[in-house]
Amino acid sequence: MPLPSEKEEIWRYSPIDAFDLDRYVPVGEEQRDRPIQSGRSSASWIAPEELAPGIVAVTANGWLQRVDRVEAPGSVVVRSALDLDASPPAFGAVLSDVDAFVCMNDAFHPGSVVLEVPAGVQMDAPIVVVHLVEPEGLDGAPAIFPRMTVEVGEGARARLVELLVARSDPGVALVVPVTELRVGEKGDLSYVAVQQLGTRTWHIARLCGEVEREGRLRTLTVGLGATYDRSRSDVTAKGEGAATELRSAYFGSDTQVHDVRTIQEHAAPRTTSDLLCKGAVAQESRSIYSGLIRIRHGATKSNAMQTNHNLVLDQRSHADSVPNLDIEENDVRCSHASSVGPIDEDQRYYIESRGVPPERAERLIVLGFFDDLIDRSPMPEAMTAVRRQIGERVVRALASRSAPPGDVCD
Amino acid sequence: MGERVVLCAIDDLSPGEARRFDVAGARIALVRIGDEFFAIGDRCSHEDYPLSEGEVWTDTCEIECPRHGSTFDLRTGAPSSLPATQPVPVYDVVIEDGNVSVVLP
Repeated sequence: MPLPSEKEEIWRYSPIDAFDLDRYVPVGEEQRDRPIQSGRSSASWIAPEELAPGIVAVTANGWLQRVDRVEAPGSVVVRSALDLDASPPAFGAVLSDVDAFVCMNDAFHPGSVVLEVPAGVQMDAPIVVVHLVEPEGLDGAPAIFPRMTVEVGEGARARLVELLVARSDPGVALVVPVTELRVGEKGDLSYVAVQQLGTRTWHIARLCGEVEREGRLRTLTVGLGATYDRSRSDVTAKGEGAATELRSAYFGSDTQVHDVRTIQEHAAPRTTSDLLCKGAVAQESRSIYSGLIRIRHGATKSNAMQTNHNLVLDQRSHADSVPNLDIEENDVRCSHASSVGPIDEDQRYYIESRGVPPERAERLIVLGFFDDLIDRSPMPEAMTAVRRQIGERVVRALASRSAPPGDVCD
Repeated sequence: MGERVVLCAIDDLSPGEARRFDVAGARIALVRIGDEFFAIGDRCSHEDYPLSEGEVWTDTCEIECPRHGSTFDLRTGAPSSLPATQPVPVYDVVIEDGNVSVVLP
């Protein structure tokens, strides 16, 4: 299978043509229990008391190392597919729309991390999976393939957080996660993924969701780290009355590229989908959003919304936004909206006229820009940390551009 | 009042350093930040791993477990980042006559 090229619509505007596969070596079995190097990790930013998790699992370079249960119903299980008699049947990405990166994950992933929430079981405490990426000490530039498979049974409810973090000073790495989420009839899953990898890492992620009749899936992906950060979410409302909500946020600085692709597919009548994607780019960073609403034949009375807003903070930063519709049915409601622009001068003038110094005014405006997304996120308790991270990034990006770094923190 | 045990002289540890001491059945990580000393249990509450081998964050008064990156507040023993969720024990430190002692419960 060839590597994708920028000529394909789903890779348009991306730097994929500059991708050098030969540079990377997949991490092998010998990495399963290797000790981790010392050094400050970007893991140190989400406090346990903020999330109050019910289950915490840790993977290192893709291998599931440990699962701790704080408080969880006994029937809710997180384990490695290596401990099961058979791998859970693939769905989503591996079947519907395979590309070279999904293929690679399929070939090299070190056993899926499997989360099962049986029918009727309701668990409110978040299940947290921390994926640690530690390229230091490996031979060559490692390619790491985390894989996660989630089954939420009929009438079950669960909340899952995946954190993708780098340990110590990270070298060059390729991280290709695939996450498959299945929500059964009247099931309910909230999902948050936060990517905070090292500054020389390529992150190419695929998220696939399927929702059965009257089920609900809410997702949020947050892109903070990596040099190229791509997050593609394909979510299908499969059964009648199924509802999906997609949220995405990114903040870019330096020469980062954030690339968010979404597909909201409606395959049954009376399904709803609601997408909100917001990002800000500073310095020489750029972002791409492209999204597709696809209403399949027969999905009458479906209702789909798609909104993408971008804040461009510097002259040299850039954002592309491409919303698309593909509608094969009548009697549906679809709306899309998209905007790209700098900070509103009236807002800036208003805030500064109240005595707020310029740098702080800008930080307030950027955080305010993200606040409506944060308010509409599937997991409010995860957002305090995310908001704090975005705030710190804004402060750093602004400080680097004003000559003497002034008093920009509060 | 518990038993007081001398661990080392003040100058045995340089600022920013952590060292493990085994005393009276307790495994203790002694950490120096500036001229202050902190003593906590030397076992990460997440997975049994010596915290004394981890990095000391002098700016936030924390130590990071080298295994999975959880950080612990040296003053309270509480984890300040996942994956750990439980605190580690904290011991009172007494500095007297140029020696550092901990008070065992």
